[in-house]
Amino acid sequence: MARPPARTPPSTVEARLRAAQEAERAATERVQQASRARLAELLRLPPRERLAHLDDPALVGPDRVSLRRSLQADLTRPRRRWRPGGRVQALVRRLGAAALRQFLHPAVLGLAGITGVWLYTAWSATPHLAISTQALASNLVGPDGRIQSYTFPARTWVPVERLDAQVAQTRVWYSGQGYGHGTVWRSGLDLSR
Amino acid sequence: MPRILLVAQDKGGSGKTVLVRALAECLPSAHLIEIEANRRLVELEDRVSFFPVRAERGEINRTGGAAARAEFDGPLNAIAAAQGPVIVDVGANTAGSLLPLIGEAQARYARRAVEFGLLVVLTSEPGALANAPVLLDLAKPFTTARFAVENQIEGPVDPKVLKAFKDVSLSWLEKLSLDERANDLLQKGGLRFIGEDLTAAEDSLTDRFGFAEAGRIVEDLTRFRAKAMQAAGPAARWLEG
Repeated sequence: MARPPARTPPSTVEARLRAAQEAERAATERVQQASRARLAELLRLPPRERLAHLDDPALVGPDRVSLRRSLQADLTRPRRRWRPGGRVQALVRRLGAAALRQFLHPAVLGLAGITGVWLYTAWSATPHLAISTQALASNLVGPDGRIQSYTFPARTWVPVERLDAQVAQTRVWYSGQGYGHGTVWRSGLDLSR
Repeated sequence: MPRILLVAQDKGGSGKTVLVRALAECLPSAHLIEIEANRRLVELEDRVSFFPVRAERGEINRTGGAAARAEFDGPLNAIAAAQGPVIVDVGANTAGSLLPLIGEAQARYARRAVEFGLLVVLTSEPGALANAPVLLDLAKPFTTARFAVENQIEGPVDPKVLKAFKDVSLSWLEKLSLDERANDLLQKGGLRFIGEDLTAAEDSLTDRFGFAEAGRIVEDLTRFRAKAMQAAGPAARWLEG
């Protein structure tokens, strides 16, 4: 290729200052172009080969940063969507251990046992409810030991304390006195509820 | 009307010669007078008239009187004979003695229509900082323009100090970090090599140092030349007239 014709150098101060600035810009542009071309070559390499070129002398500062960032993007493992940080995990571990120590304290265990017995007693003393499919007559033994006749109307709730083969043990509350206990025919009860 | 720009700083290593070279690049028609212990502006060839002086002012002052003054006869005569713009590189430890002699001869120079300007180089080094106002004061009676260039090679000069330089045109040369080989070339070839021969030398640099480093060398040197010329610009414009 033929060389461009030699230009007459500028002679005034202003023209020479401008020419010096243009020469500086042109030199910078040439280095940046060479760097961009080199970066494009390196970006085509696999990530592990790119690692060897992090300090490639042909790269200017911003292009070195681009190369480094390309590696960070390729080599970083995918992140979980959410994971508690180390502090949170430590806090949970500490609180868990403290809570476990509290629960194993003898007083807590004793209280839990008493509460369990109480809950079982209450549950077992609570009658199940059935619905009378017809009017059910029963002889109730009252709190004072007297026997009284009582009829559950049809389609009403009947408290059932115990179920036997043919009959169901039931009870009725006598206001201010206590429960009267008796039996009704099991066939007159709807136990499906 | 010949204009003479004296470039001075009695503290060595302030970057004075770099600015002289930058002035020479700004104004190729200017002649140069170098007053130094050793010739340094060799790349400028016949543009330069060299006048050796003793490096140690203490020694000159001990010999004193007529002998010391006669040491400057050569450059003073060369100034008087100037026909166009002249850049005078006044070596270290020399300006404090030379400027009063020019001041004494001012009336005679004026009859020859010689006009003087002074450019002082400032750095944050205390000796250079202290010398600058002394030189500016010495030159004030016989100069029509005074310039100061803050060379930030040793860090920026305190802005409060710079404010004290009134009636002085200030510019600065920022500190640039050069590639090691670029610096070698700068020392050997000066700014003239960068301006005239560097582009042609790029292929040879590529062969020697590789494509990437050659590019950086060229970039560093052209930037340095441009910045130095910018710093010398105000004084060069005055010198151009």
